[in-house]
Amino acid sequence: MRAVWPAARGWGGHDPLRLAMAPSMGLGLLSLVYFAVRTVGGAGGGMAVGAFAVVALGLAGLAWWRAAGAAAETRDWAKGPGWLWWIFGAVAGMAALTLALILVASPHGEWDAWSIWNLRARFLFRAVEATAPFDPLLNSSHPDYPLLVPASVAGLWTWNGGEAQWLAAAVAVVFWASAVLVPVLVLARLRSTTLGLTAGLALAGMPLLTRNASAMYADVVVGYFFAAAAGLGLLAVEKGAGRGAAALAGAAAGLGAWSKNEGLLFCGIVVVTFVGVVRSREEWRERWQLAGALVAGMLAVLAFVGHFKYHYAPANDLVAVGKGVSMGARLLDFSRYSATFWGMAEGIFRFGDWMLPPVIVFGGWLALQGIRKMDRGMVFWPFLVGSLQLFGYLLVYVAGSERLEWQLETSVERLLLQIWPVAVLGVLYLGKDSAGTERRGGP
Amino acid sequence: MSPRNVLAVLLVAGVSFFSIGKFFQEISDFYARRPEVDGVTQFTARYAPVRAMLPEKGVIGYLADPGAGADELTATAELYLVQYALAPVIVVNSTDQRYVVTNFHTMVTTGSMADQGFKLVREFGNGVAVFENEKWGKR
Repeated sequence: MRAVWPAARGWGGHDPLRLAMAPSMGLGLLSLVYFAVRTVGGAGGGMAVGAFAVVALGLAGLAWWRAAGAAAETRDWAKGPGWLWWIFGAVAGMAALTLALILVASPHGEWDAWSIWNLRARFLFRAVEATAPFDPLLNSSHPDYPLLVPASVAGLWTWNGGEAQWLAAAVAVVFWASAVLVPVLVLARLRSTTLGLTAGLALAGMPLLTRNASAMYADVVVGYFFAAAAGLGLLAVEKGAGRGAAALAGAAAGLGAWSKNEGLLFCGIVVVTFVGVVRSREEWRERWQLAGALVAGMLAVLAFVGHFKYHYAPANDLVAVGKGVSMGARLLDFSRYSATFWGMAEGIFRFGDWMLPPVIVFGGWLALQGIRKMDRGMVFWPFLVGSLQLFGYLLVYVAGSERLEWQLETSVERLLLQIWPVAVLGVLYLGKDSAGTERRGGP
Repeated sequence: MSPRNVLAVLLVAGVSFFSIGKFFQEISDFYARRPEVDGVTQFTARYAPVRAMLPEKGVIGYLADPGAGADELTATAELYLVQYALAPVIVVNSTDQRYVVTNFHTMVTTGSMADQGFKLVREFGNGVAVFENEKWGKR
């Protein structure tokens, strides 16, 4: 993390966030190096893991070298109310224990885990040829799905010298923990510990997040990267974290696209809105200075995604189906908009296995807290990014889905879950700080 | 913090606490009653000896007994689990391959399989066997 987003030696103000992100970003890097070395280099898994170790050591050296010229970061962390910490601890503790119990009881995960994600990890780990999982005969395992989860699991198995199912479970735990902690730390750093812990309650306290992570699906993974990209983008602009944080924001968005295809849409949304959502000429100039780093970080990861898509992945189901029936004709069929809208609206009200629908809870929260003055584009940027992603899903359902009703029934919940961490970050960033709580100073 | 702010936080905290608490209780109950070995491990263990005899790559056919009464979803799940167990060999839902692996839930005799042109290569018990399709490559 410090190789790209440098800080002076010693404990810096952004280090809790760097630490929370390091395992998940490390797994992302492992999956990229593992895939590249095995496909481009034609080497075995051992060589791929060795190459990752060399890259990791190189980055550590770069971080050490860059620390010499980096500015010190303020450590203005505030404690926040003690009673809120106790509630957060209880909620996060129950969620973590629940996750552990499910992973012990079902170590191979649920349907999509053993029919897609862990299956492909087995192909990558067991097969001599790294291209084995992309055989057209394996269509039911969706060979077009990107490889962050399977390649990182296969990389860990190679390092371990054997298929240990607990390592696949560890990957699920890492991304679950990151999805909870990163929005907490971003909000605590930018606004107040109270807001951060409120985000943590909304994430750790959502049964669906724990259920999906324990099923070893990739929705929590991609949802985490969406939130990480938005959080780092906010820090780059609002906290003066600069080009390093912007580059990591781009890389996180790119890793979202390396986790699930939905991440490609997110990358486009992030770039356009990062540059375009401004309230003043000055803000626009400031944003352009960071946009280059954001795009560079994103492209560094998307190069791998492009290599995978161009050389190995067959056309995605939705695109392939679109060849048969004109997508344009679907877009002109207004009954599909209505069906999709109501399907998604129902999904939103049922979402998350919460005792009350999240829209009511956060509507109430916003009504009580009040909404901040929108004097800068960044105030509503994360919320807008999440909303546009949701709108993109609506269009994909309308234009691409052949069995619309069935797909709405079976996938809306998971798509909403992907947006949940960034939505929590966005809504809480829109809300006013609690009077009398800690406020943040400079960088 | 003002009472409004406290109320706002308690709204999120209360919903989160009771929702995850209920889920934790459900999972704890399930965990206490769970089978000793999970379903996926139990099912795929039947295919471990088949995996050991198969080569590093290739394609193998798949035959399940249609009369076992399994619904379509269960039948699909079992096919995917056989694929999960035998990776990186590809399992296709067809007998039009030189070798075919079975997933039988009811008694099927080697004689009745021979009548259909399948010669037993090896039987592993629990409905799992590998047959050679004698008609393969002759059409």
